[in-house]
Amino acid sequence: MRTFLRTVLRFALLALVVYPVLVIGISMAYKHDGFGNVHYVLGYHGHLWSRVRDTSVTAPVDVLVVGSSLAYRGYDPRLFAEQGLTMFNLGSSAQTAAQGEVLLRHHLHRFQPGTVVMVVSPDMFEGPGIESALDVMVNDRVDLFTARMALLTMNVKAWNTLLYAWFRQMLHLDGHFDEAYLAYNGDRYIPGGYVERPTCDHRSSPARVFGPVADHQVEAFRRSVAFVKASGARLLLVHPPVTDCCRPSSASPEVIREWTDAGTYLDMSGLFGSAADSTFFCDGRHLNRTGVARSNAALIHALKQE
Amino acid sequence: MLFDSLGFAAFFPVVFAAYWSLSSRSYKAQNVLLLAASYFFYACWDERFLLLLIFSTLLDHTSGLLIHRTPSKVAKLRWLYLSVGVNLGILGVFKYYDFFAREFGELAERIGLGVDPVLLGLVLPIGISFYTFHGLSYVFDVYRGRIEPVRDVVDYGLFVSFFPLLVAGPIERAAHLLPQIRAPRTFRYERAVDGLRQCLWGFFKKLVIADNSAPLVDGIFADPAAQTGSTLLLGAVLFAVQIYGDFSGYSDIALGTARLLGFELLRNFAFPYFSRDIAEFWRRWHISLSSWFRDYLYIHLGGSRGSTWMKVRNTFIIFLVSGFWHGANWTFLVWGGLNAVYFLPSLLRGTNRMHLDTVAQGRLLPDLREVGRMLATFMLTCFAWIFFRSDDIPSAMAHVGGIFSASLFTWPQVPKVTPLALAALFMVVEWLGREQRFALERLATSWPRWGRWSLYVVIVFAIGFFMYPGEIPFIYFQF
Repeated sequence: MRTFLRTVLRFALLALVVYPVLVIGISMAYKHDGFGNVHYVLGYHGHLWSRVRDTSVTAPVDVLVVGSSLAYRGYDPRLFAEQGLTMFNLGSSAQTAAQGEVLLRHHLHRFQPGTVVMVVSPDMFEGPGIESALDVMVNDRVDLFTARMALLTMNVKAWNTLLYAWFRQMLHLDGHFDEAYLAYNGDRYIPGGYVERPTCDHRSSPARVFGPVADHQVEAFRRSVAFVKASGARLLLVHPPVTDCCRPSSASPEVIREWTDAGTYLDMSGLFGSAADSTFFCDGRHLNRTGVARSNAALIHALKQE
Repeated sequence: MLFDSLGFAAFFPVVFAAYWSLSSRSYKAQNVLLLAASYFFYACWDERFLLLLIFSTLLDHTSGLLIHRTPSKVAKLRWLYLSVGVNLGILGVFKYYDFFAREFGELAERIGLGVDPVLLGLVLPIGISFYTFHGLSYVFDVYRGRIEPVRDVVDYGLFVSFFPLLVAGPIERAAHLLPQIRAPRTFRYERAVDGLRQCLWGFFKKLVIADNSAPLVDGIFADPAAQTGSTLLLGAVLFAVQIYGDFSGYSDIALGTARLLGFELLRNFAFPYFSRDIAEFWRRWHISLSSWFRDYLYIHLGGSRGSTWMKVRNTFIIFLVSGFWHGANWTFLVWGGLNAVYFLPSLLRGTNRMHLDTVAQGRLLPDLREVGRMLATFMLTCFAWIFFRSDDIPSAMAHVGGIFSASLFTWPQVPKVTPLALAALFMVVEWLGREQRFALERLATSWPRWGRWSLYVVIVFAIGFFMYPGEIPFIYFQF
């Protein structure tokens, strides 16, 4: 038995050493995305690469926004500036509570915001948030917060990508990368974190049935709330305008309770009534320019009132 | 608890350590530990059905004792009928009741009777088809006097519920497993290492081969009308790879795990896709089920003795029952029927036991005749798998119709080629190891340790790097 245990231990150690070498080696040699369980894509839909680099040149702000595409497509720093407020949008693609926490841990101190606006929606507590986790670990930096987030996804692709991202960041292998502000699909990154969509396809979204709440997402959310409050910033949770497809009313009461318990919760989901047409929306969840202007005005008004 | 879950990765080392730490005291204590671990393993799925498992165990244990104790043949038969009736009754209610009720309702409507069938909508208890067959084999064997009944309910409980085989087999025989349960086990280094090797290969088959094929297969079978003939054909071939990787992978993990605990379970697969005819295929595919039906049904029906009509009848019964065992759907019956049709010619010509050896035994490559036979057998099997995989008969017919169209001669449309390349590589390794119990058993064992370990590390890497990142349940769990 001892020989067996010793052999197993030796083999496990060997595998622990060789496995990362092979993951990194194969990923370096074969960079085609979708080959194997490494998803290393600099840039990505949400322009997080540009946004993170933008944080180093942006001065402290009045308002810091975090959240998913509802945030980075929904809140424009230029509109805030017109009203005398400086704002940075720290949204990322499909961001769940776990990635929101990592981004806040990494960047909150730079901005010293007076108010943190957490753009919420019920899906921020759904599942592991793999898409967003990959985005954050590749386009932001790898540290213990990122590692915890990746491990909690319980997904091998996230673990391998974490390993590879850590290696590349350690050796500064992506220093040359420069993300185009104008993406292939016409999206334009606006300094300050906003992503502008010039054209809308006006696809309607089917009614969302929100999945079960993941415990680790709720825990990440609570840690984020505590972290923001500890920084001295005021916390405002905002559900942005959406069409009937994705109203928070269809979320579980447990989710709403999390938001209301965390701080001031502003439900703006019904700001445009039940309209699901092209007047305010690009699709079921995202606003067009008119919708962004109107919802930003409403939020700025609320911020000033508070 | 899935074999490929982190839960099992934590559960098994604890059981392994506790189990072997007891070895010097008593195998009885080991049995108690394994039974408790098995019930815990089962309860992780759904603790409500644990009671059903325990009831089934107690029923068969008591029946076995009563059958043995009763001198009267009539009384023995009565106890046997009781046990078989209750076991099949439970299986029937959970697995088949809704199917028959729905079919009856539809039939009644067709003949103008407005019957609204009562459907139970019960969840199928995991592993019920497997542990029911374990229990039945035991009472049959006791009734025939092949084995003595087990008095110790823990030993019997472990025979039925041993966690490596509890939810998807292999379907064990009392005469094979019970003597191992009722004797001390000693730890043997070679056997344990062999068990680890078999587990490793099983995980590769399941996580890399089967799970990567699954999304492609699902996409193709979801809408046959939207696919070209060549894509549909590729879908059938990929499903053949998926179900083999999935089920034989599961069996490898089960056998490897059991070996780590000092048990040898029945072999379930013997490289079935290298068969030269359907009879050989059925000696190599899901062996524990095929041999169960052979021993407890086919032979009692007369087997291949008697008139031609009897042979045909028995063959159809055995394959149709086997198909229906998989689930309450006409697709499984058609699958069974097709295999009966495939099997009959060799049975009637008396060539069904022609290929008892391994193809190209002692040679690296097969000759052209063997290649032709293997390909023909494989394609027949794939054709039958279309019915097995399809949701219903019209979908299966649409799939078959789509294959036999002009678009068969176009390039298949698949979103990813990596799974195809991995499947091809996998079949090469399987070919190289076809004369062993599992492909990795002797492969590289003559190499120096560094070479052998390099191969295993590459397999570990391949699992981590190429496994499908989502969770796909084992196909046979639904049966």
